[in-house]
Amino acid sequence: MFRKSLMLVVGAVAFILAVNGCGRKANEQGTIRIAAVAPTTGAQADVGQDLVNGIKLAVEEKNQKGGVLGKKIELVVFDDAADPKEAVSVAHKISSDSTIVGVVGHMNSGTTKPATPIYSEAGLPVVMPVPTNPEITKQGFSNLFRVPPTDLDQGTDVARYALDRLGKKRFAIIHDSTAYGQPLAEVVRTTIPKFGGQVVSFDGISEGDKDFRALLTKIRGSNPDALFFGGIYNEGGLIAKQAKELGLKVQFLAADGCFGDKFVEIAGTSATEGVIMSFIAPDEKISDATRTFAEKFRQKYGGIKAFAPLGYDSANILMNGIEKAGKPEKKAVIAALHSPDFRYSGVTGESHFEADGNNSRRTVYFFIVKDGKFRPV
Amino acid sequence: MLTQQLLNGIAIGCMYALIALGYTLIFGVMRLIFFAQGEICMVGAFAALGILHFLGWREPGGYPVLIVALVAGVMGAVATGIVAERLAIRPLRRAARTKQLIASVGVSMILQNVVMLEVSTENISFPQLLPDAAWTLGTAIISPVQAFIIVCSVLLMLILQWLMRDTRTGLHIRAVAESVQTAELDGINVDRTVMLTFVIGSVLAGFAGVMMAAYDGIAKYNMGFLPGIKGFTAAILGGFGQPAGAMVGGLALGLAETLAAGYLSSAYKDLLAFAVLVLVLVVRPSGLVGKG
Repeated sequence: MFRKSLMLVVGAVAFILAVNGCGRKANEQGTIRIAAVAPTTGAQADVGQDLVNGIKLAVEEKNQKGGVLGKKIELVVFDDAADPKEAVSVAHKISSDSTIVGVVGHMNSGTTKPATPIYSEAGLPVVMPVPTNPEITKQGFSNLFRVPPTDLDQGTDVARYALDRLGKKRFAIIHDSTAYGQPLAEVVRTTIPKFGGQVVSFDGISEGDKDFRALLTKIRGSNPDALFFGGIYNEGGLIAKQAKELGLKVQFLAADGCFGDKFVEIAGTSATEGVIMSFIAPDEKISDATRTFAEKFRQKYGGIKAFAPLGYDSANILMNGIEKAGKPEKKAVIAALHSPDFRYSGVTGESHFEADGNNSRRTVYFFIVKDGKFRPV
Repeated sequence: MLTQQLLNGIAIGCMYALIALGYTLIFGVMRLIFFAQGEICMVGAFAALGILHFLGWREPGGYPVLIVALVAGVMGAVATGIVAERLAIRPLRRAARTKQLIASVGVSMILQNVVMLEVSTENISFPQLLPDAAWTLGTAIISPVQAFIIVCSVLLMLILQWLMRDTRTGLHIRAVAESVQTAELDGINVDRTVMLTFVIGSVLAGFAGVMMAAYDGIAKYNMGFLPGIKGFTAAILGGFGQPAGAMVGGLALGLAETLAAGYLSSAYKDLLAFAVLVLVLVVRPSGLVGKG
């Protein structure tokens, strides 16, 4: 009797193990898992969700065409809430999951910077869709691939645009003291005197501040003809609005962090008229590739808000890297993306990575706000 | 430039003063620091936002629309204040002070989380209600919102002073503040008086909340937190438990913060403003207007 029941138990356990084992194996063979990280909640959820939607669209299309290496891609979305602490915990979660072979993310420089050492330790290929802080690719890691230009390019281009094309001379600069805004503002600050302009003030604010009237009043006293803000649309929109309220007559300039309808929504249409903004993706009407993408995206998710094209391209770059590697293994994917003949031509242009992981294409696009809409210039 | 900075500082200071008055009044009758005061502000702003969305007003609607928004905001704040007092504070009236304090922190967390989860985690733009047109005062520009905030805050403070000094309700509040037992023996309904104090505090907070959202142009679930802390600071700065102190403290804090941002560093403005607080408390522990 005892022996019989023991056999039964052993048999049952063996059966469960076998079934589970088979199930797992089938799952592993069936899909390739990649992670997407962006702030889908919190103060930057609007553009974060836009980025994720771009990534989703790329994965869906790839799967409709039969996936990668004959397997479907499974996308796992994580939320870092644009918070560096949260980003670190997400990075640990992703790194400890051995079934994930690559990451598309994060959105902010401030979240990417503390997360990258963790991914590097785990040997995970990371395709960065939006972060522009130059320091990220100077850490000596070989697993990072950046799709947009860095702020060395963006900051220089913004400064030169204002000096050469707009003929501005006296600049007031404000930054939001983050890993994105401050270095960007520093680049603008060092570029301006080299080309004949003058920086009349340079100030930091805290992310989350809402009343900038004291600072803007001070800036008004130094009589600038241009105001550059390095930061995100929440504060940028309020600065544009309050500057107008205080009668500050300046050309307002900002970069990719302020790009999008939320900026206009916060500042109001009249305060944004004529604002010049640099961006790291082209206008949706610039080429066939951008038009096709914009149309497909509109049908599925409504209009593009900001970073969707970059998410779309970044996800495709990672999936093409897996394809080129010939196997879904982290090390092979990193080698494939580094190989000199890896090229990807997408919505934001052609991508090809240099030894440090930066994109060899460094185009910065310029937009002007007219009647609350972003138009290419 | 100084005139402009003083104007900026007074406008912010008025809002701190209104919140500080709420802290001080409630502390006066209950010896309780009701930490949810900032969140009552936030609820007021969202109630105003709700009515504006419901009525479909998004563009400058002028003073009538602003009044409607203010009334809705104040009503929302008062309703929240009453519910919070009834459910979280009154049951603990005879418990230790620390328990009431924790309960008020709890109310603050609950309100923030409810709005965060049920409404939005993002900044919501608050419709511009008053026209752009501004008045100039020498080199300074005073916007209609700033003027409205300053004028209404002064009016509210005058009304409050009259209420406290010349009405029966004010007398009851002062009596309970003096001694709960004596007031009870004199036949004053203490529960009702405490409730009324919360109502007055919530009216002030709700008003401050709507004006804050209109001034900044945005509302967010955590918008009340920092002003709440600053209102509390202002109450301490002026001398806790005294309405006049709260007003002086609010204005002093608003001015300190603005002048620090304007003349020293905008990133360090909170640090400098709070350094002033510590300094005042070290030199004058009873606050700017405190006795003894």
